[in-house]
Amino acid sequence: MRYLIPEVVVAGGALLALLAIVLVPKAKSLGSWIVLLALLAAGIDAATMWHVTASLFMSNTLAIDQYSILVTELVLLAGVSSLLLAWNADRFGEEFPVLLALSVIGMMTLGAAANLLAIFIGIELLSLPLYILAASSRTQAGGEAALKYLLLGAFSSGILLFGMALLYGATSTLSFVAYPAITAANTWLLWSGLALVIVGIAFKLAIVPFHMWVPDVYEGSPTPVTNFMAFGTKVGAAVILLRLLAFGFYTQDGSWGTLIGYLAVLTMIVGNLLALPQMSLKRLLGYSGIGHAGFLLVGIATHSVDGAEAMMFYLLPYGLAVMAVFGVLRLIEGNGDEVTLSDLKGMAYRQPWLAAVLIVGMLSFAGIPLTGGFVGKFFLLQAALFASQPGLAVGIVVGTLVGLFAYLRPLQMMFQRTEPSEKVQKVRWTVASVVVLTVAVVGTIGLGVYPEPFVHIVSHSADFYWLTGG
Amino acid sequence: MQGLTELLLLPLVGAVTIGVFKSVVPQRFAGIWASVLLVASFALAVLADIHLAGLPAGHREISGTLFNWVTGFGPKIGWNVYLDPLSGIWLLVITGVGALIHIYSNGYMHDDPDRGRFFGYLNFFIFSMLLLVLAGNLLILLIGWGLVGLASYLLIGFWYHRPSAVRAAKKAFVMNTVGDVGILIGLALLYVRFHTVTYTGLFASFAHATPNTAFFEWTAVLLFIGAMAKSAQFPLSGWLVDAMEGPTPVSALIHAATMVTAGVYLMARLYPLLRLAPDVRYAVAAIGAFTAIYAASSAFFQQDIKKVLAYSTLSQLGYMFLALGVGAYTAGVFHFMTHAFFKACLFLAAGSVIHALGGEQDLNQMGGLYKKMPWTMASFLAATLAISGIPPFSGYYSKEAILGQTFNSGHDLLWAVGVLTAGMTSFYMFRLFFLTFFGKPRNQKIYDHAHEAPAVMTIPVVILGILAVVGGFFGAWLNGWLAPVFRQYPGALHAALEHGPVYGTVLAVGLAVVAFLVAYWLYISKNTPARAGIGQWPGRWMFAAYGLDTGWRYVTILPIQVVGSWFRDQLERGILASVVGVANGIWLWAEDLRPVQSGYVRRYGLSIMVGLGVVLAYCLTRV
Repeated sequence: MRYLIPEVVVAGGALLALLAIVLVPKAKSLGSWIVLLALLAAGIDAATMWHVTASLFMSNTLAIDQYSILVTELVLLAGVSSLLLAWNADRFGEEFPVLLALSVIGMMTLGAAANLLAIFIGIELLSLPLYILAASSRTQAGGEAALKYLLLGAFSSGILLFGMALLYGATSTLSFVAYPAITAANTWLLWSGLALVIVGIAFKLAIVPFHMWVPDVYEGSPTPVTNFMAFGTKVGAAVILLRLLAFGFYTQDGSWGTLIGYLAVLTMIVGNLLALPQMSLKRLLGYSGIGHAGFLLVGIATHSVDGAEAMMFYLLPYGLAVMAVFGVLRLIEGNGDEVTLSDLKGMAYRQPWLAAVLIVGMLSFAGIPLTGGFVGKFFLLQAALFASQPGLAVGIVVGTLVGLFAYLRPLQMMFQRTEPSEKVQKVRWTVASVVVLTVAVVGTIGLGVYPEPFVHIVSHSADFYWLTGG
Repeated sequence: MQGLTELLLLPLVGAVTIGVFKSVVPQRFAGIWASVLLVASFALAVLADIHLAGLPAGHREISGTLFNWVTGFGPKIGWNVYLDPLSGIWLLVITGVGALIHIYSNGYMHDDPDRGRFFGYLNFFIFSMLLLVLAGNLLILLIGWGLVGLASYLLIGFWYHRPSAVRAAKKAFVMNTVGDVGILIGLALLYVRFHTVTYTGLFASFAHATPNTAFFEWTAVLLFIGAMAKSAQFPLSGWLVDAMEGPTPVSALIHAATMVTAGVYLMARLYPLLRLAPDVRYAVAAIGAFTAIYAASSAFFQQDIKKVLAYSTLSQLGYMFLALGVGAYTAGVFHFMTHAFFKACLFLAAGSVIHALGGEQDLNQMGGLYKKMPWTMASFLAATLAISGIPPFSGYYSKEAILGQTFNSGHDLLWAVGVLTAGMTSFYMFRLFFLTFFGKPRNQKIYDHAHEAPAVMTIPVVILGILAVVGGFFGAWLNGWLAPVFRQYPGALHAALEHGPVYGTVLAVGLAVVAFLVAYWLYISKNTPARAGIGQWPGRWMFAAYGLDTGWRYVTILPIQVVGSWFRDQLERGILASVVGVANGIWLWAEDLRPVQSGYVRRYGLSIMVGLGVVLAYCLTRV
């Protein structure tokens, strides 16, 4: 059980925090501290396992390899950043860190899943706390968002579960690492099952046309929760889709590859296009998240090691940019009011540092050179071209160009020389948010200028074909 | 890496420190600091080249990687640095001429309140240019290529309160971007085909490739468009003349000696690619020859001292491209070197004149200055003799080598154009010389205030003047120095310097002498004013550079305006309105989904179900 220690540490932290909340109600931030330490300890422990020999454990339910470890680190980063953004904010409720930690465990499970059941448990463990967290700001919009998320989430879980049942019917096993040997038999049962599973995961990943909940839920949820959804959920859903398709069905790439390719192009273009007219910054980010899900799908659609590496790489610059932008948003919104683009006016002169962070994040989203986003898009483009899929390459370019306009609009607002809005004038920095923003900016630029160390890590982790024959 | 890293980083350090401290430290330190760094860079460049010379002839290259940019996924891309004899020449010229121009600028910009910014930009330019020539792969070259464009933009528009300067800067930027896109696409084609961007990797693949295929012709054309834009070859030449809006040292450094020769460098560097694209190679030669004669004739009637020099730069760049196109690679590089000497000298001397006359650039206000500015006059004369191709000045040797090889390789027509241009060059340069320094002062008031430039300006000018005289004697050395570069890969059989027929030399020099005499007769004996001839055909045409700008306006700007207004008037009401309608529809649809009511969430569910249906149908067709 050595391999489960990170999960156990996070779960233990969650339980301990729950106890602390009940027993020591006066120490308000004690729960947050416990969870923070648990997340960091889990991260350190996972890192020490980096050189582990890849293997399956728990009756072939979970896998431990560099892939799962990298995913663990990424979701822990997402968890820590959200925790810090919500630091000392009572209005999210004291259970906030506990629920966050539980959701993190769900995402970690997705990185390690080698079995359909593990996938389902991971997705539910990820989602259930998020339904509550979405409502934690106790506003009307928050309630709406949570209810919407819950209803549609239940709907998609049903689809996912049904798909798994069909897959089980077709293959007589839930362990998808054994599928390569079986899937050679093309049956309609198998393909219906796969279609349903893809749709179920695509919902979590916010792929067009399963994306509609995203802007509403982003808008209604508190910003730290949105940050977590945008970064963590995307990591969890993307990595399990990649592992399931690229490994479980790797002999069948001719069929699902094209499907994912179409979805990727559709998502990239529609997501970025819909980001254009948005006036609310959070809705804009919601659509941008949809667009980026499309970019992630490109890596899966190429069905090559290049593509898998490119997708895994893209997760980090994307997540860092999310942290930067949501961190800024968190500081501007004050008590959680809606931030529109016109609230950003004059920010570059009144809050130059904050504006600089937002610029870095937005440019990374847009894929401007010397940011991590550019390098990530470059790898995706390269993977698409090397896999001889020019359609995907064109989709990336068009999506990027459209996105560029969407991301430059907030920046343009910031440089307007008008009296800064009230929100911008009232910004109060906190230590926790400074930490998040610093990590985000340094990471984004670091990945853009010197991506080699992370490339090295990713090239190890994306090579998960060791499972072959397992 | 033999100091290459330091050499590259020194100017960057200068740019950054000046940028950070310019408001804290007195302005004049910026110039001194920038110049000291450049001199140090030059010393390092000399050391690097000496080291290079010490290596065995076949292995004269220093390569290294500052750090790996991208490794792991597919091909490695690093910040490769690569020095061979070819980039070594550029290195010396950039840092050497650059250092002289930096020193000169200390005097020239003395009264400018914002000269800290000026020197910061200037150092930044040198860094970018060094990055361009030291790049070990095409991607780094492209980064340097973009950065020099940026530096040039900033420096042309340095006096940003002048609308004309801002307009000129924008024009230069736009035209250069056309070229950048060409290079980018060409680079992408090469990368996708060969999975590498390093010179060595690409050239090794080129060595076995079949010439004259569509792939190579297209790639070469795209890269050549980049070179044309940067080196201002016809028809992408208009920006260089407008770029004279920048301070004169900038014109000398960027728009004469270094940046505009980046296209020459690129084409010389890519000679193995030109072997594979013979049609493009011929186009290089033809466009070069055409630019040479076109720009030379445009210079005939110019009224502005700097514009004459700008057209002469275009014309000389045309010669360099002619050389590359006919395969005379060493001759092209040779001409680049001599041109850097005499053209930098001409520009700096012109800068001294402008400085002395309190900013006056109009030839109609000059004249008789030889008494007031003897040193400047002498240097200007030496450089004028050099550019006119009068033996034994430097320009004679390099131009002779180009013309001789054009003739030897059988391009008779291009050769004739080149010889004719040589005569024309002599005419307009001596016209400029006589109008500036001889005759009667045309504006007594300005003349009375004129004075010789301070030593900090005169000494660099005189040094460049001396180089313009003796630069031609480096030919034999250069020939031996560059031979290994062009022997490494197939494609440069006749790279070495050659002699043309004796009557060719006699003809070219004879024409130049005749043109000199005509200029003397017109502007000294008959005292013709500078303005003469621009009123009627053909002077008016030549003065307007045959309406190239107008042509561009008709070819690009007007159609875009027409299409744009058509879009605005017709499409916006028609198609665009419907697009907006659809967008609004989507928007409203998304908007009215906001309230949580079971009927509306059902729409989200519907979307999911429709998607599911499509995906399911797709998968089932695959059974």
